Amino acid sequence: MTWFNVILILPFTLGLFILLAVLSVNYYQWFRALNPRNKLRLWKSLSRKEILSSITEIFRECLLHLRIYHQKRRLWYMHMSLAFGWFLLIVVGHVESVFNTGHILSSPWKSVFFDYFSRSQEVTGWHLQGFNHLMDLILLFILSGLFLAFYKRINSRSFGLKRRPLHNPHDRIAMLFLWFIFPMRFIAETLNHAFYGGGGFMTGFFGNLLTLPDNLNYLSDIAWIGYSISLGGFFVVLPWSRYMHILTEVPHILLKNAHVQAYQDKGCTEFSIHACSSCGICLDSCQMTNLDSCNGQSYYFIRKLRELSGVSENRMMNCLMCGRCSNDCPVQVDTLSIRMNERIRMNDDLAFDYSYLDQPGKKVPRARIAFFGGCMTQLVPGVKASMKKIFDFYEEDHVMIDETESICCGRPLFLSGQKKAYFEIMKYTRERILSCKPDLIITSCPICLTTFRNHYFFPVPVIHHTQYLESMISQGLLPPGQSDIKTVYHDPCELGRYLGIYSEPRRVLRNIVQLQNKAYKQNQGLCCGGSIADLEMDFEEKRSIAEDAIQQLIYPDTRLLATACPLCKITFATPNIIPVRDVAELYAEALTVTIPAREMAAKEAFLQN
Amino acid sequence: MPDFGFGIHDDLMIDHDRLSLAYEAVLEEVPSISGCISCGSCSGTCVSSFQSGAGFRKLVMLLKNGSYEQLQQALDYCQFCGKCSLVCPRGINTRRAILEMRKQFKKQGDDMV
Repeated sequence: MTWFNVILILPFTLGLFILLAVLSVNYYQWFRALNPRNKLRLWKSLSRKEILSSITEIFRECLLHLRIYHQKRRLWYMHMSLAFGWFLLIVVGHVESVFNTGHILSSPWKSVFFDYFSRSQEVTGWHLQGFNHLMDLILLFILSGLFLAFYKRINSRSFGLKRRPLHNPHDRIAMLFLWFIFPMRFIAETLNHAFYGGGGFMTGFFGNLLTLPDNLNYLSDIAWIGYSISLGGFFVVLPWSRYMHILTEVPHILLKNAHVQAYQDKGCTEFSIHACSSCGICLDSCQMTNLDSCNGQSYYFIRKLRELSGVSENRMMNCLMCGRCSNDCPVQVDTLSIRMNERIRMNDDLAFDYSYLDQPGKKVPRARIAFFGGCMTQLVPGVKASMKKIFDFYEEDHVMIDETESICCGRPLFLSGQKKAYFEIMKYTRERILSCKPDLIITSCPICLTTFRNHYFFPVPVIHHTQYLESMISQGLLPPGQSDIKTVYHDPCELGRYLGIYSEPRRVLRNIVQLQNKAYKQNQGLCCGGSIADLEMDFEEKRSIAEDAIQQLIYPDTRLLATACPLCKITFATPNIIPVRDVAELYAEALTVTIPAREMAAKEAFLQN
Repeated sequence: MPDFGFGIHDDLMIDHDRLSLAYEAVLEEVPSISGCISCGSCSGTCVSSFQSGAGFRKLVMLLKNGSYEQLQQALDYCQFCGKCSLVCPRGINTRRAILEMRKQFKKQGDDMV
């Protein structure tokens, strides 16, 4: 090997060595930081069947990016051509070198700089010529993606992105190196073929076009060194930039398929935040992107977590936690859990004292159904009154747990990061609800329902009031009145994305109003803006999000907006654009008869006989 | 002495021209707190006020007056439900203000009391 060859391969080899060293240190530390239980989970998931499904997913998502394909086609082509193209370039390049040298294992630089090392050799045989064309085709494929990436910096709207993500300096440096790699390769190969002949349909053609005197052949060597430097430079900056996702997506997918969650797990959180590719799709899904003052979007939040400076409190708290970003994320980063980790780390040790809730003498009368309205239902008495009317109509043995003295489910405490206080209050609320020994717990608040399902572990079923109403309809006990008011239903975030309750409220509404059959997509619902998870936004900003959401939801001829969450009802009513009603209120109004259901059924049977 | 349901506290010396240090610290983070007109809507709707007697209006008053000892006690009762912020006619971000107050006490600990 000549001294020039050493200079040529040095930047590339050094960069690769640094990359591998940093990666192995990082991955080892993150793996060690995993909870012991999660480590076990990961170990158990390594069965043949699950590994096979993980490998399929790695191929589909890391290389082909199929989740982006389903959202934005042009953006998909850009990402896929770079990822899959580069993968092909490496693999096909290696196969080409194996065919030529006959050695299956060779030094990495032998295949990367194959055209440089084999430039004085004669190309014999159709298959070797075929490799030249194939490599050119792949290079063209990558260059087309690179052109799109460049164009995206100028006009991101043509890619379906409302707002262009603003990258930080490390990402810009890494991007610059990445952008240089493939054009440098193109120039190096073209000059190579200009001086030494050969080449595929693209580099060979351009090489033949150039008529350069032979004494300028050092230009080709310089281009090859440029290629090596851009590769090595990219490898060195990769672990500190967003391009870390290229490699970290693989362990992220393995952890995801082993059902390891980022919540309260430092190791998994590190893998997740480095698997984020900063593609900017979540910026588009976030409803706060339209507000100028908001900077808490998951895109910026996760990027700040990767940096040494960490996340500011403002950024951490300024989020509605509606879940739209994690739903749209092509890498499926659990942004909600990661944000909760940070909030808990910050606020968990704040003082609290809920001893005043300890009232052992106080008992709720025994009943079959326990109805828990929650704090927000206290502010919309119409929902409570309607539920009472409905229970009376069906002659249910019920009790309103928090009719006079309300008590919080604790979710607002949890969302602000005060986990200890949350578990303290949960103790009292759970005790009070169970003191009536119910067979069924019904709540009209999706926020409470999420908490009950996630942490309360009640011994009896807990359902939302729309599910109860739907069960009444499916039993044939439906109210006779159906109005012709054109209504649009809004999916509350907690009820939809968190709990997956979509069909029940729609079925109820179809029986009592004219539900405008909007082509809705599950998990694409809009947040009302009033979410209790956000501690930063002021009143005006919340209202502007609500206005924006209403405009997107309704049609020109819509007369009513129905929802199933008291907080959404309050928030949507504030801009005063359209009347907002809860499903329970509409149902209670549809009960045109005043006598209970059973008496009515008996009378009908009597008349028919 | 018969129990009237309320007590008379010791004499206070309050200088309304000089705000308490804690109030200024909270004001810096939550400027909207300056809009409080002590209307009492928050206390009227408060979940814990019914049982513990401490509503957001009272917290602001104690904070302004610098009665840190009572404030610290009253702060601990808050359940964070956010009903106060929904009824506030001045649009004050009450939950953020209460979180900030709690943090002030955690940060400065007993020095403040």
